[in-house]
Amino acid sequence: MSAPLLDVRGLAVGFAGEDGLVPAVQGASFALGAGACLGIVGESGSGKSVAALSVMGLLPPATARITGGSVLLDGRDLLALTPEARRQLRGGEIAMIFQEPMTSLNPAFTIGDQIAEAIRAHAPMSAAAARERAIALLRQVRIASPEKRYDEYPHRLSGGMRQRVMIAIALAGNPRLLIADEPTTALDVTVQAQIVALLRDIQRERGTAILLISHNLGLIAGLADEIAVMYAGRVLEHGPAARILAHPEHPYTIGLLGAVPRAAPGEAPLVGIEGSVPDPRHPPPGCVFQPRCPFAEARCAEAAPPLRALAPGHHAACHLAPLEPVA
Amino acid sequence: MSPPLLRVRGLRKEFAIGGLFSGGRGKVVAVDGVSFDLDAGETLGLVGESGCGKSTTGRLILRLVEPTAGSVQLRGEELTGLKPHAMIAHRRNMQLIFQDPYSSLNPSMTVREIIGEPLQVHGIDTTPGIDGRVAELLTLVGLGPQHMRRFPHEFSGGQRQRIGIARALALEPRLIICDEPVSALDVSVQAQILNLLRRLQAQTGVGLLFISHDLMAVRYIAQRVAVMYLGRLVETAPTTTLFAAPLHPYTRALLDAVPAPEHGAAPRPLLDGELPSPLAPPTGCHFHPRCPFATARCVAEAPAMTEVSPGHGVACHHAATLPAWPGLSPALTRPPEPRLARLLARFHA
Repeated sequence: MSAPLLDVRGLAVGFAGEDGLVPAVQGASFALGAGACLGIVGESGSGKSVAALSVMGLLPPATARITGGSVLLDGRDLLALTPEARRQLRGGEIAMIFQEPMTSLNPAFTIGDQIAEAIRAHAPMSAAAARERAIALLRQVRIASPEKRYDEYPHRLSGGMRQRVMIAIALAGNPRLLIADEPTTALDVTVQAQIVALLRDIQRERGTAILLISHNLGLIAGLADEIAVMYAGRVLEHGPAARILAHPEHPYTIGLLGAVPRAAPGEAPLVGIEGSVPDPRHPPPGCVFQPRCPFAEARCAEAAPPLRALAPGHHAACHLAPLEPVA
Repeated sequence: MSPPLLRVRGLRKEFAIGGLFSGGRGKVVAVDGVSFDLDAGETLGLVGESGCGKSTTGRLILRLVEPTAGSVQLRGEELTGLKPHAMIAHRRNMQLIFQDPYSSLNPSMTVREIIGEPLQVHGIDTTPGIDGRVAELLTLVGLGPQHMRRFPHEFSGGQRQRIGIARALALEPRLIICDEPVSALDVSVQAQILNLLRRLQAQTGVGLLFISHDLMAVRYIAQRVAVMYLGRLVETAPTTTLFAAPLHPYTRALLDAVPAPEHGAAPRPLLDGELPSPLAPPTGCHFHPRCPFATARCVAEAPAMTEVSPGHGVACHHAATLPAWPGLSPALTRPPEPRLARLLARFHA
């Protein structure tokens, strides 16, 4: 396999707290090939968004500290770049869309001008040429009559339309990597499906690699080629999407799959993972999932299990894996 | 035959809009002629997208918002028009669980005060004393009496939602309106709360109106479902019927939009557009601008809710002639593979 487009190795990020640094990401590694889609699934506090912001270079500088690891884009360590060099990459080679399309757009400018501004920030051109390109981008994100929409203000658009505009802005610099952090969470069910379809088309038509971050395994399943499962700042399992969904090895992944309601009323109760995500200031000893894990043994509280290969490309951080030998 | 626990007929709510600076006054019809029954011990799922009026419907039933028209009967007694003091006696029978467990608990009150307050307000005689009753309720929702002196900020989201449920249960209500009770929670915790609601219903026989945009959660918890679009009910049916043979094109679109947790699942046909503005609702059937089957009649005339089989009503002119629906994505209904099922069983132990 050729070198991946994005290669995050041993990333560790902490936030300044009252009693020192609170770890948010602890030694997370994941990689994404050119034109591929990696889904990072995790609950609140898993560190998935912090990992994404580290790649983007958007961690709050006053409180966040990257304490270890590297973020390689085409073999170049982004963490070693100057702030100015990173700014050049943002919106250029790497772009990002967020959960909240309502607050990400400037209410005082038309959507067309905001897209054109992003275009001209990375490729100097005349206003007329930028307008043409902005209209082409609006068309590409499937906004009907883009020439008319160009001059509208964000408040006139629905949530789904605003997220499409955000995607158009993200595409303005022709990024090779698009980071989508919970891109559909704030949207209605029927609109969520439209945005997922749009992201899929963009990946296929433009060859843009997508780092998709979500708490929703169903959403990730629809787009991702590879899945990484994060919990309490760590990657507990990663591998090809089909394998992770059909043959998960980490008890946490298994619990997440069981928590998606499939049963009709009266059928077996849903799997609820008892307890809640640990406080990052007081992590449990050994494996971070051990206090909630129905498989846990004495050794799980003694040492944190490393990620181990269980099948080609499939790694899990569990002392007990494989949980059941493949028949 | 005794009346149902809750009978809602022709419920309507208009909100005035505009005013001082906008010149003319207009109105938004947030809830437009909603009717349904809910029996004791039953869960009715009220499903729709944001802005469809489902939360307003819940608030109208509780009279937290005054209905413009229509009737709400609790155990045969009309609630609309009752004077505030006359409502108090009914309020103990109707409780609400909120979506956001962070903003719905008073941060300066202890858990004991939060759960004990409704008992004091209604002057309930608790034989074991308020502490004893609060301890019972905490145990019932899976928390335990040791938490009584703690404050909301000391709890996780799921635990706070349990406190909210304990508060709702304190008065032994006959009806609980659950307004998106799991939407703000993590996936693994959502399952805990859905299981808790199912268990509590089996134990107490309380009727639940479960308001949600999450169809799979509704399928899991509700025996009947009502689908709402832009203020109107478009389909009501027993859950198994609705998920096996939905008739309204909007219901089908909602079901098609549920993401399947399976790699490479074939994408379903997608609904175009978004919920129209309730300020200027489409004529006729509100759904016609997005409906692949719409005809001139749909533009001109709003379809009435018609019963097509016992308990299954649909408001669509073309319900009888629509093509068959291919069914939910198999990935959403198929039981887990044997290996996964064996591993999942460990979580129930």
